[in-house]
Amino acid sequence: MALLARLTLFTGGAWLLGLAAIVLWQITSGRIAIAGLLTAKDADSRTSFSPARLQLLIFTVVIAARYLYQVFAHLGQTTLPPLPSSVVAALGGSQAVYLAGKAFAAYIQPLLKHLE
Amino acid sequence: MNDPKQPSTWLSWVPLFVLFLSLVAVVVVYFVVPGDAMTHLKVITGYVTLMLLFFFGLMVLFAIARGTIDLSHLLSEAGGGASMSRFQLLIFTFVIAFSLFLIIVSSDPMKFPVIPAEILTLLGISASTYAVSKGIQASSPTLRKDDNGDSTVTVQKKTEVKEEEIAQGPTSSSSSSNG
Repeated sequence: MALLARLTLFTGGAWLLGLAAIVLWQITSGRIAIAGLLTAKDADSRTSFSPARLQLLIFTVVIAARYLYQVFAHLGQTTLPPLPSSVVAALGGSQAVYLAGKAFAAYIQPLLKHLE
Repeated sequence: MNDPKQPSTWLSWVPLFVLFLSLVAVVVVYFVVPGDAMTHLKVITGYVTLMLLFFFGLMVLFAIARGTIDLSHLLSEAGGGASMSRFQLLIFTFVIAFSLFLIIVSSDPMKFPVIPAEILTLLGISASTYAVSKGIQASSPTLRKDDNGDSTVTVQKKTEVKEEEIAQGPTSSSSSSNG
């Protein structure tokens, strides 16, 4: 049964790695489009650079990289490494800024344009 | 060139191959594994389930790699361009999944780890942002416009008109040939 458990783990891990590799390959080859990741549309459907998206991207990459480092540093433990509440709060704030920018472009900008 | 949407001939042999492997597993376990009939049944069930899961997973991965399962719009949003909330949810999902896998592999004995509440909150925040972003996108006619400036409603109407013209096309040509 120990061999079965190890084979099951190997199967799951191999599948996860395979899926990540395929998604990464399709992103780098352009099949999964990421064009426009840092741009947003205004009320006139013109695209422009979005600082809200950039800050969300930076937060996401930094938190993900830091967490993976913590996981590698805590191998052998029985729980996932905890995440400080301040980091969760900072991420929540980052999401709020991103959504506020999106809502502004969707509702406020057309209203201002209509009032002009 | 092969049509990626048509299943390849060798893929259609996979279920038979799984059945063959299952039968081989039954025979090997019966003669090699010591114990009574119930022990044999448990082990055989485990190996057959594992093989089924392995080949189902393999077929899904092959379908994704060949394009039969299309992921080209995985990160796209309704008005065109890539969605930051989808990208973030993708990254956090893979990071948490890999973290879980690494912790399980490294623990002795192997068991499912306790997931801290902060990690669940993180995933919840990311998923909620995706849902709210999608809601804003759907409710705003400005953000639903594609790169040509057409809204999704306009694009749908144009598609319906074109389909009607195609449907009427052969009818008008056949009536003119009979006349």
